[in-house]
Amino acid sequence: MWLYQFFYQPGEWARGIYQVMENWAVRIGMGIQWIQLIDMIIVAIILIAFIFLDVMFLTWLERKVAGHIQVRHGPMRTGPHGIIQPVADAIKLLFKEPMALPGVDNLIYLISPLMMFVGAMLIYIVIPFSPGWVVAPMDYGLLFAFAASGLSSFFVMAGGWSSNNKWSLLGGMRAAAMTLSYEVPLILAAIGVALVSGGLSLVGIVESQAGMWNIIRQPLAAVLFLVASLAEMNRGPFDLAEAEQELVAGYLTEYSGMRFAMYYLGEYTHLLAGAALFTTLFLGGWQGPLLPPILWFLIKIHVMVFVYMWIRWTYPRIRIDHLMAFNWKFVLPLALINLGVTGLVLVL
Amino acid sequence: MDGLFYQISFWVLAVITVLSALMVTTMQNLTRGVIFLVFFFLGIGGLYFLMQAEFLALVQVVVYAGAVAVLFAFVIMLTPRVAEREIKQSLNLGAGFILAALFLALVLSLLLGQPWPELAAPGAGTITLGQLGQALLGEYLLPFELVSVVLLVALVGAVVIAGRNAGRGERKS
Repeated sequence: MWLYQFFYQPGEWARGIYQVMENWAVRIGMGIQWIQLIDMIIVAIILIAFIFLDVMFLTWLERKVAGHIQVRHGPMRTGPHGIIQPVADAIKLLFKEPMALPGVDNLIYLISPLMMFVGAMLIYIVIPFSPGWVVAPMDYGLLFAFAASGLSSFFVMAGGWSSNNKWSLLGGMRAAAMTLSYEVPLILAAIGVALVSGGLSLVGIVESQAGMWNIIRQPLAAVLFLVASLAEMNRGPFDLAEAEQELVAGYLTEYSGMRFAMYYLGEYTHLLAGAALFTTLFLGGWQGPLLPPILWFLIKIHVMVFVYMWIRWTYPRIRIDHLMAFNWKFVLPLALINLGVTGLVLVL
Repeated sequence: MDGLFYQISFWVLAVITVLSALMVTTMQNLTRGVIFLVFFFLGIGGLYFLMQAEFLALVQVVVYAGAVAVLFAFVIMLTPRVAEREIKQSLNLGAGFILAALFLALVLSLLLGQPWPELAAPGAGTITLGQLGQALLGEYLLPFELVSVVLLVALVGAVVIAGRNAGRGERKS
């Protein structure tokens, strides 16, 4: 019974637990705001634990996917099929010396990886994991996700810039240029979905997809969103910000030790958030038959993560001027046409 | 609304906003100035959130922190050697003092001359996105379209000015 409610009525389940906590607080004479604070801290810990564990798993998954696509095994030695590889990586990075070139702007150099990670984590605040399981069911959740995502890209640029290295600077500038230009079709594609669903609230968007997912109602927007989010998240074939063959490692060149790890984790956090956004906007979020909503959601976002990885290891990286031309001359007009047609159909 | 956490959040955000605004104006290093500008925008956005103007707060973050600050940073990075140059503070203290005093007088007269509106109860004064859209594209259609045209003109002008020098050093295809 308890388990059934946990899986199939997660909203009621969470509210029940909160009620119990509140009753207990009233009995021992604690203020309501303190119990709300404790509640928020618990939710934050669960969310951060989920993000860290999942991102650790994703770094392993990326290597395995890359390996199998390139007809090799990927990590095999640490644990069964190399599943403990992320732990080994973390230990290695912890023991590395954090270095900085002379002439580095230390303040920006230090806070950039942290802020990039924070920006990527902020997106999870508005993502509905299951009915009733969303940290902040904001009316403007979609806008919040874009605000947080753009913020994390700014700190990619700031990090590349503060490293006092030409490759880093070029990588950072490319990241900023890509974010600025691909954010336009990204938001336009999402607005198409918002029009169909009649609101910017992510919970509302998921609920409006009962019966028919938005990928059927907005197929063009889904493709454009996928392409633009690849660029927004700095993933191949659009990972020009860290193109190895031209820029050593782009904005990451001078980073080492835990600061590098922060950037790296931030990138995968962003990837998972992007997959979750795509799932929420186009794949019906938690909705699905039989299985509990939370499982559906997790399955869908990991399928999307796999698709992102598949794309990265299948297509070669394209040139930066081609990337810009592709955006302004192809993706953006298509997004505008999609938005116009959606509006027209809705009005008629 | 006036709970303890509201007060704490307000003061933290206020300190962040004021400190980063001070940093932006006094920093001699332009690059750091832009970073503090981002924190300033974020602080303002947080204050809007506290006042329950969620849409305004998010637009503030998307437009100012996400786009305007990036453009500033771009300009500074693309302009050779501006990034390393230290901006000298003006030593013209007399003129600065007079200007600051005038501005303070203006702000004070505005602040003290108006009655302070009470903050509306939660949910009462908020405008939905639909109402905002109706207002922009219905009642205020003409100003809205005028602003769009001005922006378009600026965009086309920038392309024309930049296009004059383009093609030099680029291979014609």
